[in-house]
Amino acid sequence: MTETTVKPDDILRPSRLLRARALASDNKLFVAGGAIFLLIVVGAVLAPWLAPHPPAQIVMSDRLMPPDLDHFMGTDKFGRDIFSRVLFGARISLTVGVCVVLLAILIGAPIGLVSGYFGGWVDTALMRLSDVFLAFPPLLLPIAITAALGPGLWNAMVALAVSWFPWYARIMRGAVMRVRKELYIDAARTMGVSHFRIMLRHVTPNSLTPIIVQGSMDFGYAILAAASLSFIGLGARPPTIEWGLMAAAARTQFLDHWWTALCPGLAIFLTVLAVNLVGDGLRDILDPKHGRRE
Amino acid sequence: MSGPILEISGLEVTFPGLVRNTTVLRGIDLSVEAGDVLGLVGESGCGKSMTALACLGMVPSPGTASGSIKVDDHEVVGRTDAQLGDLRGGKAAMIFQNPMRSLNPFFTVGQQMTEIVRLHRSCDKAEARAAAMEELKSVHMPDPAIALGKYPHQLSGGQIQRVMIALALACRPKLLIADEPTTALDVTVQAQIVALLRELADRSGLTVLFITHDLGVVSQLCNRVAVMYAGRIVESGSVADVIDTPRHPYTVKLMNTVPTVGRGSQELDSIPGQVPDPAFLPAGCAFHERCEFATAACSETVPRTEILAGAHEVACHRTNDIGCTVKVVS
Repeated sequence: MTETTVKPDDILRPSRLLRARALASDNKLFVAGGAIFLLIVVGAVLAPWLAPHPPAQIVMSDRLMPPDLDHFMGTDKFGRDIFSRVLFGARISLTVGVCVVLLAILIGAPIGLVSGYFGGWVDTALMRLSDVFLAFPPLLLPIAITAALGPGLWNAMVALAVSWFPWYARIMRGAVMRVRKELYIDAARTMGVSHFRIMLRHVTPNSLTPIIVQGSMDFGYAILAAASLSFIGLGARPPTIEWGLMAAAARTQFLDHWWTALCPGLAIFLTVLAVNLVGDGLRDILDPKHGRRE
Repeated sequence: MSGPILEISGLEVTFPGLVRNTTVLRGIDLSVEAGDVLGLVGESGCGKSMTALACLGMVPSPGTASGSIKVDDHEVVGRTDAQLGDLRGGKAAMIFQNPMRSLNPFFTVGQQMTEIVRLHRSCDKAEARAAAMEELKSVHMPDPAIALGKYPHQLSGGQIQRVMIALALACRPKLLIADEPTTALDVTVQAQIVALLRELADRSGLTVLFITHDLGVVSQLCNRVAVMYAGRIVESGSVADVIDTPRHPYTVKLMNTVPTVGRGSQELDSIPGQVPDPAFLPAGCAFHERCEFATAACSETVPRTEILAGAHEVACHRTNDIGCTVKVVS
């Protein structure tokens, strides 16, 4: 196919750059959150090159040094450079965030899809099943599951995903029930498209917006929850460098040596904040009907 | 030519209710021969769209259909979605009242057309795209190559209805069911779409079941017409017979509600009363409460369908009494 003519639309359509700029000026918090998040991702990816010291190097002579030019965030009780450890810890934390949210969506979204699309007893059965998981207090279920599976980072992630999937199932179900009534779904059926294909190609793409928004918000909570599990000794085990674990290790000395707990804590705080700002912004961008907050 | 393309006999559609079941279609008999363009007319809620959906086995749950619908000699009633996969789109296709909502906003026109083409024919993407382009050309879509790359919101209602017609015809169905395809469009676009359907019917011998409440469109487009009232067909026949010499009082009334150029500023007729609630239909002829010719018999027994000259069928007790004393004003 050769198209040499200039489409009239090209002239009228504002360039990508212009649109991006308009978006940014509309949504300053989104841009700020995105910038911080990007910085953290870059830090995590380039950790081996950015870190001034090997993160696991024990230098007993440099124990509990306050922040200075060599150790930006001081050292811990084994003389390890906290800044380097925070950089490396970002890798684990970001992985945890991505894995937990993706896993929860992968379990929850198909359940919500089937439940919302077919309705009736299928819906009732699947939703009551999900309700079982919602009946527990938020962090109690992951604690119980990790305790049963045995402590460890992977088990903690699975536990978090398993206890979070009902939220995604419910969100997906709501979105699907709305999309299912659209005329183009009926139109596809009149053309002989199978239920499976309709769910996959026509319902899912049009139902994903709320899932994406919720996922980006939960990303931060996943990091926080994983850090909490690590803090109480159910998540990552010591050789792993993880922010929650670092804060837990600082428990005994942080009153006299504030930087040992504050720095990993600040890293968690900044990441969660950045991700939430991005999530808020995404909702405004993807879901214009939600209404702009003043 | 073998049998009719669409043959409906004794079709009933019932929705279960808490107190009583509601039967919205009550014994529809209708057959559409190959090459016919049949207009199905009636007021809102008389069951026109339900008939159309039933033809594709798409009676919305919890409704159930009974009787028989044969599309090109394939039974539809009682078949599962999986069994109807080939029939839908392959033998019979449907276009809807609201074109703007009939396409998935997430994909381009081209992506959606190639999906349907590939679903029914085994061919690769490039072939499917070429076929889609052909179809767009045949419905006189301006710049088909560009249209393929557009998202539905970038097209106008008339353009999308052309796309929908192209999409419906992409797999060479024998029957096109058009459920008020022009209602949501403005008058000039409406005329274009009607002209297009007429052209397609003339050119490729397409059989069309055209659902509308616009008798003007029927007289332009159709060669046969069936008038529905409260889930029954009350009169059917050739357009010339039914429109020029209507024999059912309801058809007469319906004709008189159509505005005519040159009739002056006299008020349009309206039919007194309302369409009865399908859950609480009056006994006898459903129309008797609104009919000026009604007699005692009308409120007691349901009139049988009588066949008059020229395959003109009427279901009215008083057809013979009224005869041609009923004159259309227009």
